[in-house]
Amino acid sequence: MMQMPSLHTDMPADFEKNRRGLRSPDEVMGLVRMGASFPHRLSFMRSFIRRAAAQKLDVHMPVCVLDTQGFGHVVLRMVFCGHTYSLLAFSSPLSDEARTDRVIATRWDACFCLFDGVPDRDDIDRLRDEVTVQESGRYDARILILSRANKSVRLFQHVVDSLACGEQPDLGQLKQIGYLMRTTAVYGNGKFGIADRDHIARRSGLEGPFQAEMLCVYLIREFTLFLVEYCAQQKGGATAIGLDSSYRRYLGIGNSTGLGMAPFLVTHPILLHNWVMVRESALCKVRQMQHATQHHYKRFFDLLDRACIHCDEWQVEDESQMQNIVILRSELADIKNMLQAAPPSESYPFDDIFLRMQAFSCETQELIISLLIEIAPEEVDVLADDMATADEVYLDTSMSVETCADILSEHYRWVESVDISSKLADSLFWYTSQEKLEPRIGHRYEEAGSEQEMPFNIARYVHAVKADMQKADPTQTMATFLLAYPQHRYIIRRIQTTQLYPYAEIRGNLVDTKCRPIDLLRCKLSFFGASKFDPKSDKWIRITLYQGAPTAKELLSGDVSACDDWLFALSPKDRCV
Amino acid sequence: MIKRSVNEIYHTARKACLARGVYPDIAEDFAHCALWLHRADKDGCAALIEMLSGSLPSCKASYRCEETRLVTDSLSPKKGVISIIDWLVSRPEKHYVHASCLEYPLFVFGLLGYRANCYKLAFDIEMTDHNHVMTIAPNACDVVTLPSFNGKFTLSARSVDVPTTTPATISVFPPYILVADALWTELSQLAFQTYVPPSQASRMSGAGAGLVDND
Repeated sequence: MMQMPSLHTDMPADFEKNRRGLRSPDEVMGLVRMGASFPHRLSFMRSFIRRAAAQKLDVHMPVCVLDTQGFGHVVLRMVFCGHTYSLLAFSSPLSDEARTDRVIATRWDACFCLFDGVPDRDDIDRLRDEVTVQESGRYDARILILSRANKSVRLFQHVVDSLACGEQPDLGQLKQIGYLMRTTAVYGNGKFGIADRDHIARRSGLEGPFQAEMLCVYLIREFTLFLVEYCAQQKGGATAIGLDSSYRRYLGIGNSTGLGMAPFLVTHPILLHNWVMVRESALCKVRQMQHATQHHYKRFFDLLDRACIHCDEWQVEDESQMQNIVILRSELADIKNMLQAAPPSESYPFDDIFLRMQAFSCETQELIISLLIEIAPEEVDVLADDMATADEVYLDTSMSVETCADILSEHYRWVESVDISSKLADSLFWYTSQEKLEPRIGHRYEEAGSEQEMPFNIARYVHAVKADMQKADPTQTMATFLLAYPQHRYIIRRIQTTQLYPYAEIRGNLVDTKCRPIDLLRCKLSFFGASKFDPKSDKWIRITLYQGAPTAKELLSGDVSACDDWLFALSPKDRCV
Repeated sequence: MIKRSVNEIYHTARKACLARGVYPDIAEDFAHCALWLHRADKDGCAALIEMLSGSLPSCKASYRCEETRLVTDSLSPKKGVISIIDWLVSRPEKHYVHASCLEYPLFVFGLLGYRANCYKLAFDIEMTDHNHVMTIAPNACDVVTLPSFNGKFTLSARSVDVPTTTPATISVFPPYILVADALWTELSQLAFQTYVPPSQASRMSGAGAGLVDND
């Protein structure tokens, strides 16, 4: 008695055989490809901005109590889809030595909460004490999101100093960093007593995945733009100027993403399937366009040009990622030349482009897919509504052992290549540290604690259940099988889930010595809409959110189209000249 | 008493079960059960703590199974009740469970209530020596009076028509659930056992970033 999924029934489900069908989960859910993801127009930030623009979002600042250094508190308020939300921002002094992005931090440059409604003075006073200690505070259901951020010290101070002197900041520094502050945690869904997602999931404007978080981070971005200009004003007085509008747009919000985000993809398989399914369905729809208009062609090639420049501007310190970027730049140039020399076929032109991309690297392929999805909003935007649906899947106790074994064979082929007898295949374990509940990865054969590991050793569980299923009567039901082997219930449920939700399972070994958690992080962050992936290690990545997105002033125009064209944002022209 | 979000209770309850050796999937069901009981105005956290105390739960049932009948000495969350309910649910109206006694009745009712919602079933509990049938149906949060269970009973399941507008699970909770401080401390302490003690090495390399982070 499984729940029926909300799939797009007009999408061909036969991955392997259908021309222009969905890409197979074996291809899409591998770690290397997940780690090559790019944002696209169905990313959550894009959905939020479209809706905010349609609403002509108007952000006010009814409360501003800051000293001359910019420390104190501020309230930003807006009405979004009929509901009033307030961002409370508390800014405090912080020494450079104390600044860390780790979960184990206890102090930050700024702390925030997204308040459901309008806080009164008592609320602000009480929340100042709680929000500035973040996880140690206690909250109620009027708080929707809890967050904190640290300054990019170099850039923030440079911008303040420049504006105070009546000059725009150096574009080179802006391009290098891209944000004034970076969030180091954005908590939602009931953490520390804040509102459960269920309470707002049916609220207009917040139905989509992580929309409350996207709204909060957007307001934090507005706060950082306000704060830097405020500090400049305090320093420079009449000499101070405001940031050029193109610079304001270019500045996003940084984010330091560590392991905490990765387990979500394993513990929410159906949600993950829905996100991926929507993206793949969007690609499918574009590939299935039999003819393209001149507008479509122009849009594609304009975006390709933009992507080339964006990638030229994308610089990171991580050698491996920088190598990928260099290859990406070179391949994009090759693709431009190739498509000029041999234009796409007249019939199914975008399928032609897609197929020709298979000769290039993973990152190039995934970037081109983002471009393809971008060009046909009339075809794909409607799919975004299905990203939030997360049906519950309950164990199908009446399923036979034989049927379950068939599903296993089809969807867990990747496990066959895992040599579970080798220590390398399970040398890692994921766990939560007692130290402020920070998620960490340990080395199983060198450190203690693996008995507390998160259940991510999927390959081993699959091997074990397969061995026991082979001993069982194939006509036996799962219920009878589990009476004898209750330890397999977890993996059996995961296996059954993939029958209806084929993109639910990551097809890679998460405990292998070579596993790179940042592949998971990048996949999830691409769905958020993040760009400029900047790995700091295999477990830690910096990204920029809302870079190039319209600012609140621009959203007032209500021009959704003008506000929706910021994929692969480019740096502004130098305003210092 | 302190207000707790549904998500907090779910994850803390789940981890408390893991700490007591319950398998991950079954720990999730136990946590859902605790929430279901709260929704039914019962103290789910208390019921969970009571069940987790004492001897360690076993996820494996002790039973004798014939084609449509499963006989067990005790229907108990500590003795593989999840597997038994799974078996019952696999063929509702055809399978029956006969048990000699019921342990932690409130918790078992919670499990049945949660599963009734998931599978759109009603569970009937018929006392062998009494003319008494108790029914646990989807969204029937009226487990108000519990008969004292001394003796044998039969548990069966049947499909019921549930309006399509009724959620399959009780997802509409109040904004918070009140939990007694002492109970929460006990649950949290159990949950804490699933966290790994830090070390200097894990602090430095377990999460990826350095300890000071400026740009």
